[in-house]
Amino acid sequence: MLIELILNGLIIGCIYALIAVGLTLIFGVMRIINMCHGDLVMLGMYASIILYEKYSILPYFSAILLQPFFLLLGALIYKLIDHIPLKQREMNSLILTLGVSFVISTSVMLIFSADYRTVTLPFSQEVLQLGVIRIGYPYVISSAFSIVIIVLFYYLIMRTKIGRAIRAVASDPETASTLGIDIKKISFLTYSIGVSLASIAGCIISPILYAYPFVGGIFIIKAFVIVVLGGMGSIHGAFLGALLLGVGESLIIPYFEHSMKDLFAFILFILFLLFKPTGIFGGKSRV
Amino acid sequence: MLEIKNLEAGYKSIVVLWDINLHVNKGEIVSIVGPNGAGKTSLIKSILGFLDIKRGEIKFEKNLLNNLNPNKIVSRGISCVVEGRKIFSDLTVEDNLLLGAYNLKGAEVRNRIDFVFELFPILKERRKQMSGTLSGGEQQILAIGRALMSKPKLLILDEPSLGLSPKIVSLIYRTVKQLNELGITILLVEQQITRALKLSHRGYILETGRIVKEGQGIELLKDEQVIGTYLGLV
Repeated sequence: MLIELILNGLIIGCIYALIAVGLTLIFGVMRIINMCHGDLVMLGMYASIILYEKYSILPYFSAILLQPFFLLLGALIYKLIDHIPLKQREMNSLILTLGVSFVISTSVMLIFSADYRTVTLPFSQEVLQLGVIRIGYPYVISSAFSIVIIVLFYYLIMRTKIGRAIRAVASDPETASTLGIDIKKISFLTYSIGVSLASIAGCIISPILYAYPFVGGIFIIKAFVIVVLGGMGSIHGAFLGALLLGVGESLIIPYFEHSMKDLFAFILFILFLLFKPTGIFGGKSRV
Repeated sequence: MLEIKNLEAGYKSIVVLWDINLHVNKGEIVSIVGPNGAGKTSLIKSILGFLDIKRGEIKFEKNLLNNLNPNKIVSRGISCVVEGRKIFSDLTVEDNLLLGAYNLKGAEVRNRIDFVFELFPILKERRKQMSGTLSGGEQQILAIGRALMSKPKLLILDEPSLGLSPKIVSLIYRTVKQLNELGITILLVEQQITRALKLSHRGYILETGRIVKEGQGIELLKDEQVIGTYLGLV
């Protein structure tokens, strides 16, 4: 029972990581908080639900198929942010992306109503039995998918030229530009990566969680908690924070009502802000 | 090679450099010296494209640099070791060096890194180490190595001896001389006036945002005004 709960928590944590890592990366490089990040996840959920209902495309394929659409949307939002002069960006981008968030979520509500929706896969009820441990197949596939994406992402950031440039810009943009790195290009790339990760998370989470137009609010808050847990701008911190939150939420379910699980995130958040506001890796290592 | 004419530059509405005229010929070592707050770093920053240029022009190999983005200026062949080293401390030594060659292609990057490792064997030894764990002197060497990675025609060094032990300073000055002999033009900014001027072909003295004197390196050191103001010998 305990192992099953921890495992479930780790699985959810992997998907949280996809969302939070994008948020922290965008913050690290562009110094903005992307308030519409959760709505991109929500859009991913809706898009994959529709593709499944209309064309029976599994959400795992939609996650890849939908990328051109999401990258275009990301580029559009980036253009809006890019219009704000650098000096005023930190605060104004917060308001701008919050506005974008409202536009996205209310548009979805207008089109699809506020009903809860989900993807019911043919194997939704089947479980993988490993000794005493039982995990639903949708959970197994989603977590495997997110682990692959995380590994790819990690490789991109730590081992490639682009990744090196992203880390350099996050650490010191002025010095990075004296080395010939185009800050704007790197910012745009970073934003695109973040949007891409959020939309993938949305697609693969749709068989597990219910989608409704304002579900993005939950995701952004949780991602924000994770980012603060791990230290603003720290990628390693975001991974660790995501797993911690996933397991923590999962462990309190047997003791409280299911609806109380979101409370855990906030308590953790407040405790960290009170006693370790720099987060686990904060102030020490960036990105 | 580098030519600055009637430059007036500053931050937004505040002007910090007035009527700067300066040139660096190919193959020279030129130093800009002056006290704290004279505008030395601001002058470097305006060459690199970080300051607002109000008037005048900065030309590199006959091309105007005014209002270019910093990253474009580097790709023209200017590389800078900025004040305070500014290495990426949470990246490895090798990552730092590779970032210096951001605009170069594969095979050339290997060539450059071999060149830098030959020049500074300590960097080869420490290549996998986080740069933040290096000593101050090693960090300065890394910063110079990183600046050399882009295969610069003009290397700018902003206070390379700041806060370092005499031994490291000697090494850095030896290296600067060596690089110059290899054909790299050097623009050196220093507070250590004697040492910088001795090494340089020519020098400029900057005070409160204006160039007050220029001349041959060693000649400047014999100038009475210079001796009186900076060397405290009169």
